[in-house]
Parts: sequence; C-alpha cells; structure tokens
Amino acid sequence: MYYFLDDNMQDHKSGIEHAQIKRLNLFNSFKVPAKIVTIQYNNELHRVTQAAGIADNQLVNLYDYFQETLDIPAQPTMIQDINIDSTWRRAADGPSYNYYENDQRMMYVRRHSEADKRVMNLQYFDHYGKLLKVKWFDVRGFMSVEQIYGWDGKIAIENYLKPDGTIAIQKSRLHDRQGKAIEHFILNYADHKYSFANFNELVSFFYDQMVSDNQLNDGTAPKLIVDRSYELAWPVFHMKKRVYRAMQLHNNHVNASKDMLHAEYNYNYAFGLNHLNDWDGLIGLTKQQKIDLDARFGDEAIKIYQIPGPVVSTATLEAKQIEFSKRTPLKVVMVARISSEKQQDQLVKAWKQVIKVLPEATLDLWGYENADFGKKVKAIVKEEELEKSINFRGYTADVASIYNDAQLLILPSRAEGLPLSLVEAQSHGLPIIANDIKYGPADVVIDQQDGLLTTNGDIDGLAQAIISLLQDQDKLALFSQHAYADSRRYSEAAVMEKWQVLIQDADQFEKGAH
Amino acid sequence: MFYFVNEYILSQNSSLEHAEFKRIKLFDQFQTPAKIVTRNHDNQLHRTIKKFNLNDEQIINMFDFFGNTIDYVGHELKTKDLKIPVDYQVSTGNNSRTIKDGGRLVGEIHFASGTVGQIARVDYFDVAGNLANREQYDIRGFKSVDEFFDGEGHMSYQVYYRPDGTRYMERHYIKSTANTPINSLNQLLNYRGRDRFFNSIDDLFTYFLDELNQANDENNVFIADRPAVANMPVMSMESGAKKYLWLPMNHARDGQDEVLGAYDGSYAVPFTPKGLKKLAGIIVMTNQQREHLQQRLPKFKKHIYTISGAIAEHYQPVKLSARKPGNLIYVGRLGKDKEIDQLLQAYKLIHEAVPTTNLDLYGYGSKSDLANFKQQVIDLKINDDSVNFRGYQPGVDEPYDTAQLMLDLGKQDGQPLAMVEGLSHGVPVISCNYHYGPAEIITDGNNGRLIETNNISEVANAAIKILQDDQLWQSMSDQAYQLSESYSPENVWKQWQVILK
Repeated sequence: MYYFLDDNMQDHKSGIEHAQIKRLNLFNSFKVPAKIVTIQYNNELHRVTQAAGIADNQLVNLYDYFQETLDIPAQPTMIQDINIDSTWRRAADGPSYNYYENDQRMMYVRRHSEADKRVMNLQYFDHYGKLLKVKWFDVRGFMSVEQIYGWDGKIAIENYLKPDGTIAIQKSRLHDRQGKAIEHFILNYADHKYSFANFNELVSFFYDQMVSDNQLNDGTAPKLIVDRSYELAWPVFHMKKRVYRAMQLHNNHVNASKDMLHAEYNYNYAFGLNHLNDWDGLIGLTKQQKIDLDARFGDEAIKIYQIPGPVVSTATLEAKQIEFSKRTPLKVVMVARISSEKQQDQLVKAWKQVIKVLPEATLDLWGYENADFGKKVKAIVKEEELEKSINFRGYTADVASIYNDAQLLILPSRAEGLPLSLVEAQSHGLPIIANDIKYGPADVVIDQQDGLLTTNGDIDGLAQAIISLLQDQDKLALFSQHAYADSRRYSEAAVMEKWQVLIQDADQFEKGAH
Repeated sequence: MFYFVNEYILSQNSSLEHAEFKRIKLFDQFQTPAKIVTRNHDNQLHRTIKKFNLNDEQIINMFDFFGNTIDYVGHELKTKDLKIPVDYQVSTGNNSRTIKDGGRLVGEIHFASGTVGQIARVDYFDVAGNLANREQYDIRGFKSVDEFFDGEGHMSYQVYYRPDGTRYMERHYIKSTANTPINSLNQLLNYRGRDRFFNSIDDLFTYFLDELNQANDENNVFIADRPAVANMPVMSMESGAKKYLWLPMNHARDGQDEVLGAYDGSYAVPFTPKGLKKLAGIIVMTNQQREHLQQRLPKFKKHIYTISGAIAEHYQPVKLSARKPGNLIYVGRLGKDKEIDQLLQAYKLIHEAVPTTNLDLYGYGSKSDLANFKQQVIDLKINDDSVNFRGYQPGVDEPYDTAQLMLDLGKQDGQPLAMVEGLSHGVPVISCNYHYGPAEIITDGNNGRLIETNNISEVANAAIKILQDDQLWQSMSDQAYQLSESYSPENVWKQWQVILK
C-alpha cells in the first residue's frame, strides 16, 4: 500500500494536492494500491475529497482514524434533527437561528447558507450571555468536535468525538509560564489512554498505527511517499515501525539556482534533505532537477528518482483535437496564481510592447490574487493604460476550456517545480512561451517545436517572442499540432514507467526487511 | 413514598444527617417506604452509606437518577484495570501512582482514602504541568466524570458518564467577580426526547424532584431537611406532592427574638403567605419551637407539627463501676457557635475541684477552630493531657456507655440529638437551657441539670456536685434511662402519625 502523506486537503488546493490526486488516479489505473493520508482536522474534508474524485476508502485522515469515521455513510444533520425545546422563541439570523427561553438566549444554530441548510454548529450560552461551547458537525452529519471556552473566554479544550459521543481525542490549548500556547493531546484508543506532548508526537503514533493496520494496508506492505516533508518528515522519522519511505520534491530544492552544489535549501525541504540517509528514496520532478540532485548527493547512499507530478489522462490524449482555426485569434492566456514568483508584472510590461505591434491581441490572467502582488500588477496595468487588452479573470476550475480557446500560453515565472499548467496546456494543444528556469519549462516545452523558451528577466525578449509567434499564425498552428503530440511524454503509461523503478526498489526494501 | 431531601451524606455528618439516619431506620422498623434524597454528585456515596448502616435502597441521588446508576453494582477498580499503555512507567506509592513517559509526567492516579488502591481519580497533565483532564471514578468501578481545565487551571467543563461510557450531563463553570467558580449551565442530555437546560443546580434539583415524584405515581411526601439546599427546590416542585419543611435549627436569625425577630434566611421566603400555600406543613422537633412558630403564623398553626428528630433506643443500663471514673464527654460539632470555649473554661473549674476528671470531645470541626480550642487548653494550663479531641466517629455507643457526665454549654439548636443519645445510655447531662431542646429533654435535678446560658461557674458547680456524690449520680443515671422512654421509636412513631394519616 502506497500512502501519500499530506497535511490537509481544502477547496483551494495547491499544486501538491493536485499532484497527489493525479498520482492516486494513476496508481488506480495501474492497480497499485494507494491512499492519500492527511493529518489536520477538517469538518468539510469529505466534501472536498469527494469533489476531487477521491473515494472515502482511499483517504486516511488522522482524526477520522481515531474517531472511527474513515468510511461512514453521510447523513446530513438538519435543524429538525435537533430536538429543540418547542417552547423556545426562535429568531432568524440569515440562514441561522437564535433560540430564546423568555429573554435568555439559550442556543444559536448555525447553518451553512440559504442554499445549503445543513447545520454547521450549535453554540451554547449561559444566563450571563457567555458563550460556553460550540459543537460542530462533520459534513457527514455526526457531531465531530466540541470546543469548550475557558474562564478567559478563549477556547481551552477541543474534544473530538466518535459518532457515539465518546471522546476520541482531547486537545487542550493551555500555556506555559511564559504564556506561550501549548497544544497537548490525550488520545483514547483501543482501551488505552495516551498522552502526547505535541501534535507531531500524535502524528508519529498515528502513522505507526496506520502502517500496522492490516485492514488499511489491504494485506500489502505499507510504503510512504512524503509529499510535505517540512511538516511530516519529523513524525515519519520518529515512527517505531520502519517502513519504506521516500521524499517527494514538489519544487526547486534550493533558493537560488546559481550554485546548485552549495546553495541554501528551500526551507520546505531543508529538514528532509539534512536527513538524507533517513530516506529510502528522493524524488525530483524533472530531468534537470535529477541532474542537480545527482551532482550534489551522488556520493550518498540515497536513491534519486525523476518522476513528473503532472499526468495527462488517457481520456485527454484521446480527445478530439481542436482545429487551430477554431481558437480565438490573438488570445493569450496565463493560468497561475498571481504572485511575485510568477512575475505577471514582467508580462504586463512586455505586453505594452506587444500591443503596440498587435493592438487586437488580448491577455487573460487567470488565478487567485496574492493580495499585495495582485494590487501591484493591477496598478501597472492601469499606469500603462492596458485595461482594454488585459483582463483579470480570477480562479476557475474549468481550465480545459481556456486552454481549448486560446492561441498561446505564457509562463514568465522565475522559479517552479514542474508546473502542472504547462503540461495541461500542452495536452490541449496550446503553444507555450515560458522562461527557461529551474525547473520545468525545459521538460515540457521543446524550443522551436511546440513553443519558445525565454530568458528570465529579459522583458524585451519575452515581448519579441510573443510578437513573433502571434504574427506567424501558420507557425503557431504547427506548434499546436506538435503540442498535442509532445504531451504524450506525460501519458499515464509514460509516468507509470518511471514509478515502476521506484516500486521495484520499494519491493526490494521490503524483502530486505524480512 | 417519603423522601427526605438533603444535599449530601459525607463521611463526617452533622446532626441533620444523623437525624435522617435515625428516621430512615424508624420508617424501616415500621415498614413505611422512605428514602434519603441527596443532591450532590459523590463518587464515594455508595461506600459512605455503608458506614452508617444504610443500603442502596434507602438513598437516592440525583446524579444516580439521571445516570441510571441508582442500584448499579460494579466491581473494584484498581490501577491494573486502567489499562495504562505499556509505553508508560507506573510508580509505586501508598495513596497514589505516577504515570511517566520517560521523564515526562503523563498523569497521577489517586486512590480513594480508606481503600486498598481503589481509583478515585486520575489527573492528566500537559508538558508544562498544567492539569488538562481529571477523570473521576465512582467507587463502584466506573468513570463517572471528566473534568476539563482552562489555561489558568480553572475547571470549566464537566462531562458525566454512565457506566457504559455514554454521557448524560454536561456542566459549565465560569468566573464570578470574586474569581470563584459559578456553575452557570447544566445540560441534561437527551432526557425524555431532548436536551434540557438548567441555569443552576437548584433549578436542576427542582426538576429532578418533580421527575422523581412522577416516576413514583406522584403525591409522594417530600420533607426538606437541609434548609439552604432543599427548601426552595422542594417548594418550587410543580407536580403533585405533599411538601414539608423540617426545621433542624432555630427559625430566627442568630440572637434574634424567636417570636418577634427576623427569620433566618432559609425561612424568609417559605414563611410568607405565598410560601406557606405550597406547604402541607412545618415540622419542628420541640413543642417550644412549635409554640413560637404558631404565634408567628397563626393561620398556619394547625400545620405545624412536633416530631422528635432524636430517637432513643433501649440500652442495657451500665453501672458507675463499669464506667470510667470522672469521664466527661461532649458530643457534637466543634464550632465556636457551640461555645466550646465556655465548655473548656467550665472543665478547667471542674478539673481543679476533681482532679480525677478528664474530658473527651467527639465531633469534627474546622482546622482553625480545632487549633484554637487546642491552644485554649494550653492557655488554661490544663497540662495533664486530660482533654482529648477524639474526632468524629460514625457511632458513639461505646463512649456513652463508659462516660459519667455529658456537658453542653451551647446557645441554640433545633434539638440536640446527642443529648438524647447520652441520656438513653444513662449519662446525666448538664446543659445550658438554650432554645430549643434541653428544657424538654432534661427534667432539672432528675436526669441532669438545666443551667442558665453563659453561667460557666454554675455549670461547673453542678458537675462537681454530681461527681462528688455517687448516690446522686446513680439516681440521675437511673432516671436518664427511664425518661428516655418518651423518645423511644414507638413514641416518636406516634408523633409521625399526623403526617402519615
């Protein structure tokens, strides 16, 4: 059983979660047993994961595990399921209600929204009007956690409950003599009561239980792929049971790419890379990254793999290709979070030159805005009087239709791991112009065949590249054809072949252990 | 069913509880169903009552009622039953154990006092030593309460459990302006179809009494015994019940005139016309108190009854020769209001005249009161260890049978239970003539002496006279046995007939 270790899974997924989901689907296609493992409490978790196509039996959450709610039927709690005293007076507050006995507020029943009337939580008050506790429902309908307020009006205790109402995990939020917060965990598990000085210790204990759980393992040997080593390497290293474990990089592993042999590690990977010998494998995303890893760690015993995160599904590869003439002429898109390392500011400056030559061209910027940087980019657009041709379109889940409609995708980033959007855009036949940075663009874009690689920081060069392709529509159409063909490099079979190398090694590890 | 409504039964009880014990025994003797009702949660209750020869059928506790554990029979729960994870080390100790994970203190197990390792509670700490969770265990062998604490160490939340681990109540505590805990919400879970909410334990207690009444076909008799805790909840009951107030004390505020002065706080509301409407009657223990109350409440006078709280068993007479010569006893709470300092002064005078005397004081008192009394003994220069504080004992038959005289210099009471007990064991009593009781219990010169209050030297003189005249003592002791007949179970049961009718 391959466990993909993550922290949390929310509606706003990062590239790491997207990569995990793609990997899970890939493993499913090839019938390699796998599950995603998260450790944070999240009462909306199962809605999020189901929407992402993750089956409940392929998701192991720490709280679910101890609350005994890994895979239970959903039965939403509605207001009529709560037997409220019928003599109480009810006052609406949006979709929610206050309840009063005479003039005393007894309860507040919070519901999600007018459209979604499930009960979210119950809030209890005393006759002094003080909020005493809040009981939250899991999206599947059972009462999942009670938060207890202390004398100081702050949450002091959170009790995570099993569906039968007994306490599975008590989290206390007290403080030490310096007033610093201490999160302590008491776990009721298998007739025993355990005490954990912090969350990491609990996570470590949880992993040990998980890898020893035959039902979860489905009779196979447990193996760990750690997708967030910053949060999870410590608990993994402190497990009592030693199982196969590999560290997956999701980005450049150093901060500055000039001296790959000595550069300071990206803080996300520093702890993991400082304990290189505690891993059984290290997974980089791109060929260049593997070259850099080999150069730096080649003398160590660690096995280094190159496996891309993005996977192009068979369905996408077999889908009907879009005729280039059907694409909106001169429509350019960028699909990425609007943040400084993505350098939308440079693209906007380059666009000023593009628009002088091609006044009909349009640029759509898709993606969440990081507050400050979003403002900055918008200010430049205004200053340069580009509002007519540049549109901020926000986040969308339906990227395929964007890729199918545009003529060109730009990614002017200064640093990446292996951008999912490049592989996805290419699979939809979209030519790409991207800065040749570490890592990713060079692994996706074949220069002068399906796109152009530009030099980071060279705004004029970027502008010239865009102009040259938009002006040569025949070339662009040819690039589009090549893009479809080149994306086969990221087919399920191609990526799985890379995984097979690791899987064989992991099986060897298991044999060695026994 | 008769319900005697009280707050608790402790391992050391006041005469109020002892009167209830005697009463429950009386009802049992005359085959009339009755139970003592207690309000407070008490993990030791079902063990404590055995010390007072009560069984589980003779009491009913509110939390047992809601937790369905009225007659629960469990097993002794010891450290091994806690299933402490093998990863942890458990220390040894007399009254407790520590649980450690390496050098870190995980928890502490505390044993119930007077047991061999039976679990009373387990405390769990966080890494900074804050108490994070306290588990309370019922002596019958199940976790009864989880307590949770906030960052300042204040207990803010309690969850109450049945033996099967399901919850039946949640209670909250918040900070008062005086920085003390206030129980500001009690949530009875899923009881009769829904959660029920109570702002205070009084409200909860009232609801419980109604439920108890209705669970037993209504129209039961409820006698409120402990005024501060039982009076208002009994009177606030809404279901059909016969409600009586039992007066274990003087109804007047300390030092006030009993007919004209202000009522003690516990009676201000009940004795208004509106309050009296809810009552079937008031029960006092002496005729004198009844007369005083009848003067105050003329419209209610027919419903004020005298029933003795004291009940004198028949005991085999013990001759002087079989008693400890010069052994004086005091039995009762050791409080300032009981005028123990006057008692010690009187003893000093007696002891100077009759050096063979000694004084045994039976009863409990606060630490500081006890320290003061012991200091007083030193200050009085009673240097021969002849004064002994014997502490509280569930039964004092043996000390009564070996004592020669009993002293009581008190100022007020509802009826001194120990006085009747002493007399029934043939111990003459020298008492100040306070309200209420001594004048009805003692026939001056026959079974003891009645002395005006605060007259210490007269008490001493009376005692010296009896101690120096064995014939006089024997006559008084004989009459003590004889006159106790009026407090026999049969005679007290006759007094109950007005209520039982």
